[in-house]
Amino acid sequence: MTAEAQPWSVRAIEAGSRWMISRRRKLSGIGLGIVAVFLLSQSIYTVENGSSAALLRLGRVIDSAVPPGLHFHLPLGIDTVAARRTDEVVRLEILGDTAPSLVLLTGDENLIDAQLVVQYRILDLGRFLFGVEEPEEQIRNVVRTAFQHQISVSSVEDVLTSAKARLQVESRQNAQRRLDDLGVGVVLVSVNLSAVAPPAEAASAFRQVSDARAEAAEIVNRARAASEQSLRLARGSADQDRQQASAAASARRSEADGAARRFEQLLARRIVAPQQTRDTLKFDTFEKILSRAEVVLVPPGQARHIEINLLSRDGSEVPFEKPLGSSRGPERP
Amino acid sequence: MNRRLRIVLLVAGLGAGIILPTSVFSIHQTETGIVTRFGRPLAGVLGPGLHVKAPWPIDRVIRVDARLLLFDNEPTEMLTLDRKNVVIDCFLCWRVEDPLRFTQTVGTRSQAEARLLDLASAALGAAVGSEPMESFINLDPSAVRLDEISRIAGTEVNKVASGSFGIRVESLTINGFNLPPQNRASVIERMRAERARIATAYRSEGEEEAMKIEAAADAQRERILAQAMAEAEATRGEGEAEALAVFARAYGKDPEFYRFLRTLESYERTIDQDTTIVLEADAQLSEALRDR
Repeated sequence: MTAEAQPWSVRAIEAGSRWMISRRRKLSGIGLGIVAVFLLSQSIYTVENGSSAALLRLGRVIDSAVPPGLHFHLPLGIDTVAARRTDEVVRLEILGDTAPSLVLLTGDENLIDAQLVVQYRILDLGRFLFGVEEPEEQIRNVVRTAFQHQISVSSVEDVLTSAKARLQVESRQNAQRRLDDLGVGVVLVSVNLSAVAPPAEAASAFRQVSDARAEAAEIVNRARAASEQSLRLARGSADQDRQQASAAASARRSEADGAARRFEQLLARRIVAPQQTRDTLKFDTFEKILSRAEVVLVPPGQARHIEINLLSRDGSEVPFEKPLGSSRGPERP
Repeated sequence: MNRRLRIVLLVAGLGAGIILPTSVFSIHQTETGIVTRFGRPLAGVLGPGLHVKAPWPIDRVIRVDARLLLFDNEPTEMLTLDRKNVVIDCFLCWRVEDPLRFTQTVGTRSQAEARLLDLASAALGAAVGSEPMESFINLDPSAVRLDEISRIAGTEVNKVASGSFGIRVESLTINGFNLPPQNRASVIERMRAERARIATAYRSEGEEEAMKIEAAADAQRERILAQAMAEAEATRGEGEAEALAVFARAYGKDPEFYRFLRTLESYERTIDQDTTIVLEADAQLSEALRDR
């Protein structure tokens, strides 16, 4: 080869290679060292706290539950790692086909709109990653199935009001059973009915029912209150009656006692002075009555019949004939 | 070494370098593998890991998904036994059971799903068609046969799929049951009418209850008052009886004197300004009066 002017790049490469060849031993040592360090760096991997990982060697799973921390694996793509946050609870919404809400048919052929939210956690990472295609879609389908089954045997009243909690719990249990049978490797933390309502077009009709129920309760309460009041008054009146009777009875007894005492006093006087007492009493009485009444004296020997016009209390005349000397009339004391 | 040899060695080396790597392959955890020699499949199914085969183009690898696969059907309208139109939504969970048979028959996922769709529609249509509406929605839980119907249809599909395509259907599940969209308006109307009826029923129940309460209260009130009246009468009667006993005891000491006093008292009581007394003149008293 003639000593032509070669480009500087070629000369540099030639010089570099001559230098490298002359120091090949040392360089190979250093090179090996660099390669070793490089390989080591590719062999280390960390699994974060709250996660776990699956380790695959040439495609085959050799460990499906690598715990958090620092680990080694074979470099150069021989080993691959797939990690997931297995402590984390993942939230999935289950939406309807054409609208955000699921449209479901209840046991009594009523329509309802519902929105479901399910929360799950990965239990078996190996099955979750490699055993089942689309585990989240599986979960959605299974939960929807379980919920539909529950709705199919419930009345719309129950679904909208009292059975909501029960539906959630039973859906979760049912869905968990199905997922376990399929081997999806997750545990369902909760199934929530985030919204459930009758269809918009029927909403006012449903409101009317709850209004009517409230009204009915109100009517019954008012009736109860009124009846309690009426009974209170009746009891009060009854007590009053009893007390009045009791008082009247007492008064009567006192009256009797008084009259008895008076009689006994008079009797005592009569015993002492019989005739005098009788006369006194007689004349006392006659004084009183004769000063009040009208007295007509009929001389003896007069006609044996006299006409007396008695005026009855209303002013009409009542003819009365009294034969004198008859036994009728005031008794001669 | 002469140049030609060197070139041949170089090319052979390059060729080997390109082809030899195809002798070594790995099957992923989610797959199973079939090796074909000149297009014909070799027996034996390969699991995950590293494997060796004859280099391309002699041997080739076909990979088949080994996982549980999900096939979500579109909701389909079907007819129940009692001739009601319903919309059924179902999904299939299936896996490749016999990869060899699978590759020989359907080969690809989409082909397999097309077959499964046909089988599932037929099986489900038949199963649904032999059940009345009450087997799907019913307030009596024991009458609902959703799981049964799903199972029957799934078994039917599996018979064909397993035998013909090497597919195992793990489950066919009905996850939606509804009425056709065109029925929606009439269903809503029925719901509204039913709610109106229920509202009226609540109101009249309430009124009936209220009337019962009122009637019971009235009856109770009457009882209370009547009882009180009876007791009052009895009390008054007792008082009267005691009073009479007192009278009898007292007056019994001298009945004749009592009669005398009582007569005087009755004169005093009954004779007033409106009374006229007619007396014969020879009575004691009239003498006394005349003298006045």
